[in-house]
Amino acid sequence: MAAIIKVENISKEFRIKEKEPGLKGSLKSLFTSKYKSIDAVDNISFNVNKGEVVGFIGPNGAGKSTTIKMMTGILFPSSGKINVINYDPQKERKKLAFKVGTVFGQKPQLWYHLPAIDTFNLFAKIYEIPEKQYQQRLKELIKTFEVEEVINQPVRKLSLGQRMRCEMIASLLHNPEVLFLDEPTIGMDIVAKKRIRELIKNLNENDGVTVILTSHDLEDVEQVCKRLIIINNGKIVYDGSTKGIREKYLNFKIIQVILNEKTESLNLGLKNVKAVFKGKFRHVIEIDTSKHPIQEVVKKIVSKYNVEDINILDPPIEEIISRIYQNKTDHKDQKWD
Amino acid sequence: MKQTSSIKGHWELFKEYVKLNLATALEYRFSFVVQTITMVLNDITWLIFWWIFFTKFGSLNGWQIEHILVLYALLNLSYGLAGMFFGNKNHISSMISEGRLDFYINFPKNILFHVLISRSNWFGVGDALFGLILAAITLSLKQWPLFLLLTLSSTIIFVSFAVLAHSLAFYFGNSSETSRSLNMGIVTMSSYPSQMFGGVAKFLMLTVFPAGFISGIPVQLLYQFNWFWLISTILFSLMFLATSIYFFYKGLRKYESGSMITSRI
Repeated sequence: MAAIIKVENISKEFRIKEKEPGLKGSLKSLFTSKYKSIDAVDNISFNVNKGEVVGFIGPNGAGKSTTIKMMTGILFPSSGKINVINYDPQKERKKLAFKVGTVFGQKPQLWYHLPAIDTFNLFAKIYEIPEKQYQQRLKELIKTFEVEEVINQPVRKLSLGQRMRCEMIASLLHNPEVLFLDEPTIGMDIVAKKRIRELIKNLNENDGVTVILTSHDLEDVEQVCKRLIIINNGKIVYDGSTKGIREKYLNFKIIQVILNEKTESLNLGLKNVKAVFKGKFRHVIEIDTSKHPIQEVVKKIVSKYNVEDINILDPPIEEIISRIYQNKTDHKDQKWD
Repeated sequence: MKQTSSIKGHWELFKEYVKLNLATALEYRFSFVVQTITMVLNDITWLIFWWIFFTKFGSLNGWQIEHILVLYALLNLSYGLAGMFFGNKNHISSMISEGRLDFYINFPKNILFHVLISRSNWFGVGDALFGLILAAITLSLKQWPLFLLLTLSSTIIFVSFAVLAHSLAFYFGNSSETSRSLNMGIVTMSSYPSQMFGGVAKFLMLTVFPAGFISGIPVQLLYQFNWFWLISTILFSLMFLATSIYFFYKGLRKYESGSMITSRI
């Protein structure tokens, strides 16, 4: 299948001014400025095929958003080449903008004090969509995203989930071929996240939209993307199937238990359960889910101890990255599937 | 779907923003009315100052109170129009340092034009109305076409100067205060008769700090018409605009975006 996005050896270097602390440092920096270069993105390459849903994950500051910003023409790469739908994002920004949509979870496009419908109307003018075509598209999107009730309310009064659904409509009005979603579920509750994930999946399956999704929520990408690119310190540490990651690295969960009585350690009588933290009341354990189903462990905890609260968490992305590095060291010649 | 952005498309966008910004201002009617009245009162205070001055001293290098009234008419109308229709001009530096230009870069429109029109300072309505009233009192009917042409050129210089001053943020990081001070400086300099200045100050006022082209020369032209100065003023405003556009886009290559959480108000 033909690649719709080609990224070749791109890097992005930021120059950061360094200053010693305090007033003395400020006065000194007036006369001698020291700069430090930081490689936010360091020589990465990948292709994305038409119709793919690719998840970009990595810890904060890994380079996910910088990569997306270079693909959409917001930032100029320090070196390397990018081609999105046969356009150079920096040189042919306007042409590309007609073909792609962007949603930045932390940078809303909707007018905060006005109803979402006002922003939709404005975007129709920005993309110069003929009135009849616009009305038809808007009707379809409103129905799909189930926002009939809220588009006439000021955006400030919407819930995060409702607002994000409206943000997505705004980015889809012009029928983009590629949709860039940067942290679309940030700050949302589980129900709202689930709805957004379903909508992204539908967009891809029904309309064939190619989706690039960044998140630091593993569950987001696990549910939505078949392919995963993990970035750390500006470098790609994994580019392969989500299934591969799930089988190799997502086979453990973290359980955090708060007990009603002082207990030195959780003794469940199970192998492959590792204590991560032992407090008086709070205990954190890591379990290998391929050996013990999560229900079995939870049942044991509840039957054995007087539990006040229990939380089941995915391993943090940093932990997975460190395991990938470990695996790479252990199997130097291994190739990703 | 279209793949190019037409001039008509930009004009339609301009009209849509005027409507949207007015709707936003109307959400906060009270603040809008108070700001407008405050601006008019501020302008009246300055006129009272000049009235007292001319009553006491008669004239200033040939300038009479009527020249001051025309200067204020031109200054208020052009500054008011620049604020009403290109209200984001005074926010460019903070948008650069806070990474808020992303929104505009993602659209198939001219970035600078889109940035400028996407916000209105509706208290500029007070300035503009005050300017029009002053012009109606002091100017004869046949002076109006020239007055409007010169207002347009002064508006262009105001907007271009703000773009230049605020684009410093691309090169020097957060320069909001410096940019704001430069803008305040040019408004203040423009509100005095240009005949008060000489030497280096006069040279600056006709070049990098073009207060002379905003008010002094236009007022002179309205009373002593001269083709050379009219063409110079128009050409200067267009060249100044071109320079500001160049400076902005050159700086845009250095734009670093950012991860600050923002909202569009």
